[in-house]
Amino acid sequence: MKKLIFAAAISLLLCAGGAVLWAHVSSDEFFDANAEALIDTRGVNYNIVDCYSESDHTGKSGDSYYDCGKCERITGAKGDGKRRECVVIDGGGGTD
Amino acid sequence: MVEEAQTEVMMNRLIPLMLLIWLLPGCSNHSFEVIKKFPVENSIGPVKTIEYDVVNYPIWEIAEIGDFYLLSLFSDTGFGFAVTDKSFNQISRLCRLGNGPGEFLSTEFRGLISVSEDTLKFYVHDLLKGRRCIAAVCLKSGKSKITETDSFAPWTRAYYPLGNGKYLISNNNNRYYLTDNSGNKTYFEGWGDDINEAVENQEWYIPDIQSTETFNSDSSRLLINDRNSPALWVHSTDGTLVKNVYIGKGPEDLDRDTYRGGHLGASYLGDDSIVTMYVESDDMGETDSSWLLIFDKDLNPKARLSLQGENKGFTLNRKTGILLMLGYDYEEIRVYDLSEWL
Repeated sequence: MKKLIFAAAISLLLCAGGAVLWAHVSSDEFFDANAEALIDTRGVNYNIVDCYSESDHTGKSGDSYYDCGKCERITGAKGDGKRRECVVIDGGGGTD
Repeated sequence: MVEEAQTEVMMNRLIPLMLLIWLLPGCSNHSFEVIKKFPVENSIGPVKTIEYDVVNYPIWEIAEIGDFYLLSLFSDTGFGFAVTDKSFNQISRLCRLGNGPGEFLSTEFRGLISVSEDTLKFYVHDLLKGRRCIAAVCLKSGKSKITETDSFAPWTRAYYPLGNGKYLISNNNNRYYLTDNSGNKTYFEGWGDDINEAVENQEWYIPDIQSTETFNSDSSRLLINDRNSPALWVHSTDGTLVKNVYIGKGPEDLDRDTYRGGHLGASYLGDDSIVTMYVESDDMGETDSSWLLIFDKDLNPKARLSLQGENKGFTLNRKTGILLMLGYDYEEIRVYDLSEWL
């Protein structure tokens, strides 16, 4: 019985270690696949934000949302329509 | 027998410990209630409508002040406000929009100071520039004077001097807190939870909650309504949470990809009731439904009254219960009578 428990514990440890190794390898593969894109953004600060495809023009200045078209903040309106994500680049402007 | 007794003792000790571990995480977060039913479910129609010149006065908000209207104008008019008589004859157009000296980047009516036969005075916030002003209008000549009283960070959503050097503030990240001249900051209960200041203080950040707020008549309580979700809060003005409710669905059940709605207006009605105008779109975002929701002062539900049309906001006379509603798809002011809920 003791030998069985010991064997099960060792197996569990080996599986956990394998999972960590696999994740590391996988992330490296991911990095390689997107290296070009990452190099392009090197040195550029950006943020991913929620954006909306349509607008409800409320007039209230506290209402604001990101418009998906230019990824710019629109004030005096609430976002409506489809919700997606876009990229806001520090210093202004954005891309979806 | 001895082993069974030992097992029973161990279980008697373990079970309370497990219960404590299960309950402790719940103790650290405030509770909320999801309201799915109201005691009264009905519809309500306007008792009358008021026609006005929508081309000359493209308004997004209206305030009834004695014998006058204070109209909040859309920005393409070049001005923040117009003051008219009850027949919509213009008395004054004020708070020019722009980036020049004395001009406003944005305008919001933030409370009446006084009104007499001669003069109307009210608070204006310029959210985008970060300042609070007093606008004074001579009701006979139409001339106006703007005096800046406070400056604060742009995108300060709420700014209320409470006296004795204390302020109630909510910045761009929409978290309410009390502060004083020494800079001590005490968040309203629940509003400081899970805060990430490094992210939330950034210019680009837009919070999920975008709320407005109003005090009750003796300023002992603050009613907060989220314009982007079914959430409402009532706090004592020392920050203690009285109640937090959600209409229909709680925060865990809200799918932000498909949910479109919010409380587009909220007000106290008399001393004992609360009124909000809640809007929700269907999953396609094509049809809006809206309701007037009536609560007691502790946010216990009283009535849900369905409305016709695409409604965008209201002003309520707290003493008479007369409510003026503006809409996206109608060019008139709809007048509702809520006096039975006073």
